[in-house]
Amino acid sequence: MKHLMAGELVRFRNLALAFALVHLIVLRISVSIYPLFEQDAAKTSLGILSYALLGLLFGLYQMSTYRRPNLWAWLIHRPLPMAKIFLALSMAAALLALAVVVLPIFLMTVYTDLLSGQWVDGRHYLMAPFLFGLVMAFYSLGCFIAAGTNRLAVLVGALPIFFLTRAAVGQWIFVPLLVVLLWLGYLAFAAFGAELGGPLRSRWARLAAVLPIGYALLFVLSFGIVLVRSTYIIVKEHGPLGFSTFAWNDYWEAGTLPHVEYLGADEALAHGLRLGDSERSQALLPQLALSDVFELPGPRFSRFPRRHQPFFVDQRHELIDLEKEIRWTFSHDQMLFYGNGMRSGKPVGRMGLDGTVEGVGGKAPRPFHDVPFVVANRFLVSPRQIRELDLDRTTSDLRFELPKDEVFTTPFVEHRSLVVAKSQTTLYLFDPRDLELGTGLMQPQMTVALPDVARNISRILIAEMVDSYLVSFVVGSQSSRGYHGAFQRTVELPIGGSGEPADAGAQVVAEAPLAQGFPAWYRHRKFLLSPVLQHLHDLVWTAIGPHRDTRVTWNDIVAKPVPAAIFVGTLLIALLSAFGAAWLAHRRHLEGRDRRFWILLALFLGVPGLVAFAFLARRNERQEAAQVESSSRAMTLGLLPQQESWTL
Amino acid sequence: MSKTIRSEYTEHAIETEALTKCYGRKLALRNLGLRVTRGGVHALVGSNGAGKSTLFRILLGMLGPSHGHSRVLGVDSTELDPDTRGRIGLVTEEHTLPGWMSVRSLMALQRDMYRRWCRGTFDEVLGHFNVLPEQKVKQLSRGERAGVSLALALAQRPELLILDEPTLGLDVVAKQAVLESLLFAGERDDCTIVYCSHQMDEIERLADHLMILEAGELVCRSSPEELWRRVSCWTLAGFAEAVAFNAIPGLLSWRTVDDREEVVVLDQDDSFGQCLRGLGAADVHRRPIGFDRAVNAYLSRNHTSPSQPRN
Repeated sequence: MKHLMAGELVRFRNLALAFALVHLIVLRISVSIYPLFEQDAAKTSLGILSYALLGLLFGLYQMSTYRRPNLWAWLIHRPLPMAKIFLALSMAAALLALAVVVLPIFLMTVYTDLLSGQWVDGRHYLMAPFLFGLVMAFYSLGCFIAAGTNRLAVLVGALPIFFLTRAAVGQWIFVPLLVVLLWLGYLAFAAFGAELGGPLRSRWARLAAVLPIGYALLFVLSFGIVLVRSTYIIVKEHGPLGFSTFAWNDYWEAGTLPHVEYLGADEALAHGLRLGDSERSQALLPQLALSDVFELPGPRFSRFPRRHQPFFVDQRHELIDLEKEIRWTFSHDQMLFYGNGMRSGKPVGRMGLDGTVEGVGGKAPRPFHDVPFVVANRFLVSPRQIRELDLDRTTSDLRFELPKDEVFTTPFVEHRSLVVAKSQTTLYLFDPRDLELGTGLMQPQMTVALPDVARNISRILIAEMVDSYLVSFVVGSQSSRGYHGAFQRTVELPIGGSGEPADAGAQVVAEAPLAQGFPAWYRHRKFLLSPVLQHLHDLVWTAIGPHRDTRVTWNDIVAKPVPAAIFVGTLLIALLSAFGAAWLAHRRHLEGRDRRFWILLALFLGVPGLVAFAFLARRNERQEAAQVESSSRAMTLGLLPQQESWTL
Repeated sequence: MSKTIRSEYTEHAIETEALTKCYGRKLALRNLGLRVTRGGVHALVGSNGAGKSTLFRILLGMLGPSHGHSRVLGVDSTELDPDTRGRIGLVTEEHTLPGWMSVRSLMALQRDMYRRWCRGTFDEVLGHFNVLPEQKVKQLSRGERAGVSLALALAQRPELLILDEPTLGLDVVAKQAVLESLLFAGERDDCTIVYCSHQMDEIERLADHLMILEAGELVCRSSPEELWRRVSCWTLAGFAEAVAFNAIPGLLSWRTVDDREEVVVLDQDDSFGQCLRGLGAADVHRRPIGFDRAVNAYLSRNHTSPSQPRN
């Protein structure tokens, strides 16, 4: 086994050496341009994707080269168990990954830590082993795809993508990674049989392959439905050449959710007022024409950085002091900002919660309670607090604190005469003069409770009227997936209600449900295709999904309103899938357990299960051979003259 | 045939029973019943697409049969254990070896795996081909690769050696070296060699037993001498009248050479001349026939084209 492994190492040694060198150089250049571990989420994701691609391509290449029957025979026809041969290839790949990926990253981490003067947290040292696991997981995927003959196997790739989006903390990042690695490793090993490209013999392996394939198919089929329906609408409305001129915002019927979502901010607020039949709402309409309407923009701070979170940190926690030319980087280990000269890179001190810099004024910096992120190089936002930082005075003042059980979903957003912040339950409106002139704790001028869970709110529109503010909530962003309802509520807030509890003085002037605009079957299409897979997706996403604001909760799933007709349709589709599977099983001469396995799978997984069956299950060659032989004999006997035996 | 992975000494190195393999609607092997006794060189002959490579791949467990069973050295080929694999040597037609490895590292790789590895055999066989141990496989010519491939297979001292057209594309010198190596191994070790080739001179020289595979079926099983003895060639000036094709007993092939008709027949003695004359043939003579012509006639017997021989 060791020689086989050594052979693989010899095979790729030059390539690996070149790659490792290039990798090291790229990392070194990156470090000199910008701190390696402070890249934003987009760049980190791109980097991680590159490593994943590297692993995938290597697995594909290594296994594909052995696909030539004679070389395959050379590889496997030896007195070694298949497991050891597979292990030899995988171990060689692992050693190469260590040399090409892990070693350069580790060297660069150590270099940054010891020689660059930049602060390196313990979490940064997790990057090298994490990427090693990632590369090996995708390597296994590549092996699985290359060892099999079915191109649908590529859909197993849905599995790691699903798990790796998790923003796990500290050593816990290895749990989902390990699950994926073991899953894909098992599949690759199961596909690595003496019979190259042969079917997966173990039912567990088949199940392990079909589940992620079915899961990916659910989205592929769902997207196909969206594509077909959109194309149908465009062609029906504008003809076959109407793709470039079709405007969706003109398509939706007035009063539907998509219609309101497509409207401009002032039109959408006016729409909200028109929904009410009260005198006040009608009286406000003319005023609205003269008002300035603004929409509370994103980004939605749905995911705060968590302590020891190594990757996918959505928000920067880096401060730039341009005057003193200092870059302040937050350390998760110390819960303090570490300063480095922007030119020299040399450390200049640590900064604490109250803005105190180490060594200045003889005070020791106080560590932060939560990992903050920086907004506008001025505010430090943590889940419940917003602090304003003055780098000249080296102070940090608490400007606003949310009540317990509330977490910011939007920190300060300034718009002319208004400063707005939002928690997951309440909207806070402040006087901008308080923010600009004061330094102490700010009190909201007005508050209003959100009409629904924050994740279901599609738009928040705010207009300053003569003696009040109008706030219109367009609710229903999750209703297109079948969760929660859709409605528009417009609230009037009289000016001068500062310090009042939420909703004090707030008056609902108009509220009405919004029609969905999409037919029920379209909204529930994933449920119709496969209720099991859809709920499995929702459940797992609820547990480990990245965006707290967009994912559903267990309560949402339980309370999800599904029309009776959809239930009946789903049941019918599941039964039809099972019948389809039975018919296919008959056509392919599958017997006994094989037949039952696929029929049950189609029944439980619905249409994706049936499609996976159609692509993955092989014909029963034993039966087929008998059939071919009998027909061939019949032809020989019936149509051709009988030959005498030539056997000696 | 009961399935077992337990290796036991059997009289036959290879046994197949009702072995069938189909690729979609195409039957590659059809109810093949084959028994290869231990010892000696067994030649497997067949035209392209006859199912030889499919048979080898099934025997080595690299392809599942559609129907039937096969056993190699007493072990079901779908369940070949590492020990049994170690007792089977294999040389393929392309001599595909990992190009990135040197001959020495290939030897080291194989040496540690095979208990009966014989360095002397390896060096001796390699000596026929002027290959240096430090040479990379990708630097070797086809003939040299064939030598390395054969040396590796023979040095394992296998109980069963499967050779799938090992001399294909080799020059005369390399071919000679391969044959000498095989003869050397066959004489010294108690090794069963299954030799597949289209080169009849090689088969005539090497083989103790001959099997002819056609369209997935075993159609002939004998010794090369026996086949050669039972096939005879006759020339004649022509027939007085048109003769039905199946009126000629044991006809294997019919062709025209230098304005004379030549028929090759099976199991006909000297009285066959009278038979031909009785059918209106003139100037009938028996001619000697070579082994390659005999096998070729046998292989092409179903392809004898004219339904009515010319006059």
